[in-house]
Amino acid sequence: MARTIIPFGPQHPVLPEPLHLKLTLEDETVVEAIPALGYIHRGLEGLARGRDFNQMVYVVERVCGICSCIHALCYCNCIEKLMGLDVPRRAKYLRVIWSELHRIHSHLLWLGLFADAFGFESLFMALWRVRERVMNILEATAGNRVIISVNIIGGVRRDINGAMLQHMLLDLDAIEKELKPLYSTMMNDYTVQKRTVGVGVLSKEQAYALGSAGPVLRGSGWAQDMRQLKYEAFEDLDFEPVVEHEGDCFARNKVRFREVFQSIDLVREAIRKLPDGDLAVKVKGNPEGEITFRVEQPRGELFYYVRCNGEKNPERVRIRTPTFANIPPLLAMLPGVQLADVPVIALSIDPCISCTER
Amino acid sequence: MFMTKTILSNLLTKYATRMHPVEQRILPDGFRGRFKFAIDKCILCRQCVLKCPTKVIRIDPEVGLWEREVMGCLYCGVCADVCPTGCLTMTNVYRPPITEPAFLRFNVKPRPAKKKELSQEGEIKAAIEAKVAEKVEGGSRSGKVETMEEDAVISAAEAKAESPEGKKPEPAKKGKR
Repeated sequence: MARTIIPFGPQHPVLPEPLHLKLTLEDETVVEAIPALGYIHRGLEGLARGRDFNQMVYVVERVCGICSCIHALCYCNCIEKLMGLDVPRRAKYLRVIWSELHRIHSHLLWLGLFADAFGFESLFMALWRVRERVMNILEATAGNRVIISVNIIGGVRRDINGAMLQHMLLDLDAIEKELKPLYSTMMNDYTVQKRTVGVGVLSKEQAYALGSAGPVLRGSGWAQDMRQLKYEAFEDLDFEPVVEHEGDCFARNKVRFREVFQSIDLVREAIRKLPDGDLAVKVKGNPEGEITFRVEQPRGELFYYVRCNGEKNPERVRIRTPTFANIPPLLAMLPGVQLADVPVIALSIDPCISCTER
Repeated sequence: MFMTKTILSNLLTKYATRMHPVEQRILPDGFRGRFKFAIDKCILCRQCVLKCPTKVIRIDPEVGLWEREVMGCLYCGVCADVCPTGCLTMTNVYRPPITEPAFLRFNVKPRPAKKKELSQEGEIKAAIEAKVAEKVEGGSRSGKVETMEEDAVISAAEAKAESPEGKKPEPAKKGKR
């Protein structure tokens, strides 16, 4: 049988971002997949030398639109640890509230796109309608829908008052109520199961050996979540990672949907325990030394390395994003599947290419 | 059969979308929208220049120019946060997109000469006192605080740039980057 090479992406109806895969096919079966990255490289790491460490917060937020708050959170933690700043407890809780809201809207966006990828358009629209409620909360509390710019070195910029917190609790109840029937549709509908169960299986050993991160890893049975490191206010919150054992697209889907409910609970708990106090501490001097820090993004483990030499500008900022870690597992999933399943599998790792290429 | 419930609930609930031009969205108070300038309050302290993440604000204290490249602005609101006199504030008015690079320029009263350039000590004292008095008055130099909205200013600036006798201190070309 002669082999054919089919380019998948960078422009493809199913992809939100330009991922390019060269697929070698035998008949309709994928034999090999070769990725090509570099369509949206912007050189944001190099920009660190031209911006001072306070301005850099707004640069790292632009690495990824959909999880901007968590990028800034990770970078701020690095600089705060280098300078020995003690962030107020209220700021830590507010950061958790905003980052969990970001996780909810990122997962709902992905679930919608995933539903669209296997042709379930009404589910896609229903999920995005719920997502709009989360966006409204973010806009009312932080001032913008996606890039909310609330984190600064030493704390947060904005406060959430009591009335707004009550409003948020009511909204979260409504979101949960609207999501319950969609969850049962996603889990029990046979059209969803036909397209996802047993497709793109990643075994437990493979997932670990290939260094996957986030829901891909947890969908294969590893209970590993960076929130277990107890950064920010997670030390006071009840948290257990969501784990599924099948390792297929359906399991990854289930992990993400269950994480939405988990994040709603975390926000509720953080609002209940929210302490009074200052929002930020004053920053004096420049950071010096080098540090690494890890946080959990919606897509997995986000890793920052920052080196400063006592000047205004950081000397080096290195960002390792979860999608970068999840591309080798994707290439391991693809051989042996049908061409029609490739969009579903490619989307099941939640590819964020602008993160990967920075 | 299981679709009946969904169909009925959809028939009985309102649309999730809105008839946009007729029905406008109400933006929350904290929305980071259009800037509002009370430029008479500006003391050319350069705080906004130093803190701007995209470095699009430029100040020339000698001729009294405050300039921002509108397209480069992220609307992060840092300049409004750091402004000591409340010259720059953010409103919750929706900011429509613009289609070509534009500069937002203001003429501010130039800063008085630097301290070391004044010969007499008495003059320094007088200058400082004058400045303090000005701040106490509410930062107003000409007596009335002029507030302008961004789009009005952009069109005014453009009109000035086109008129031949416009007293613009910096004749930078529109669209220069």
